[in-house]
Amino acid sequence: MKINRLPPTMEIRERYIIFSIVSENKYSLENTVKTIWSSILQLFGEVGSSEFNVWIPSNLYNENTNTGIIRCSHNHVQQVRASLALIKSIDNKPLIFKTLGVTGTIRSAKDKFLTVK
Amino acid sequence: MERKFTDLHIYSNLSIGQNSIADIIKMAESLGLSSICIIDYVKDKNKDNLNALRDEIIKHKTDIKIYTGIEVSTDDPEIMRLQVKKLRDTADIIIVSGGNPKINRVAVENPRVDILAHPELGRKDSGLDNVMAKLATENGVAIELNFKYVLNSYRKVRSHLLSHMRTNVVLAKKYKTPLVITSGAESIFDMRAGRELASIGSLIDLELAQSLDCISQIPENIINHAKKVKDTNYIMPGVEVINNKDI
Repeated sequence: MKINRLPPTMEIRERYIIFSIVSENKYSLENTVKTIWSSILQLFGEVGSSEFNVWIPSNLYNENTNTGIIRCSHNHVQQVRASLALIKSIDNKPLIFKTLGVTGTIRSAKDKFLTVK
Repeated sequence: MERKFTDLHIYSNLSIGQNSIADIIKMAESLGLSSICIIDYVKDKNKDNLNALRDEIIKHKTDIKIYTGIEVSTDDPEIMRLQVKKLRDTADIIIVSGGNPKINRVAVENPRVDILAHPELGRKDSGLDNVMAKLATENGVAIELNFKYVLNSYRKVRSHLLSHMRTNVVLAKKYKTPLVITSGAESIFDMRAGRELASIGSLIDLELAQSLDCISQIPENIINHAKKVKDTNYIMPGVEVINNKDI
């Protein structure tokens, strides 16, 4: 049996945060996702982070440029940003997470930030 | 209106930091900051290193505005007062390193001080009370929320630190004390872009607009005020020479 979509008024409104890692090294998707999640869980715990509706689409992470997208609920953008800001290192290599922008759809995120013009 | 972000608390390798000014400028450019302030750290009665700092900054050409500042760190209120008086005219901004209750109190009573840094550092309370918050508003002393200590602490320590910061924010909101969010960076990897610094505000009950003000509008006001006070035409609050020729 197929599950129906939620009615439009009940849908969770989402935002897409486009991030990039400022560092000389290149980081794998697996390590990056693990670090982001551990930072979110450390700062807000399991109950807190359950509200954020976080998802990191793996096909949109670029290992060469260290850019990717995080989806989150529209009223928790600041909290997810704070968890990104509090990441110091991956594998003991220091780095800075920088957000390039926040968009309402994946398509505009791709168009504005991820396509090479 | 696009906001311009300012980071008022960065150390270079001429004081207690690790990276050269060239590295700091490069990183600030890539993070999109529009102005930064490089701080010289003065412990007790030590001499300042401001001239060397200024010579080094002039060598670099960049679009970013670079200011110089002094952080006074001491446990003796008298030394603090003398250092601040001596250094006020040389530096763009004066920061007093808080944490000691006596120093916190004397700093917010002193109109020459621009920023009281991390009043909650190393304490079991927030380091400020309602009287101090009121005095800080009267004397135009901004309270700093330092990002470095949040970044470098974890678990219990971070939890206590955020709770103390929240108390300070509540006091500052009630008495309309200016708040600034700074990175306090000792290495270039402690620096963050403007909106990431502002996101720390969301952890301590600041509204988005308020926390954005803490890194854009309020630092700008602090620097403009310091410039105005140093002007020879300025006499005291509300009194300044407008046209020299008529006198």
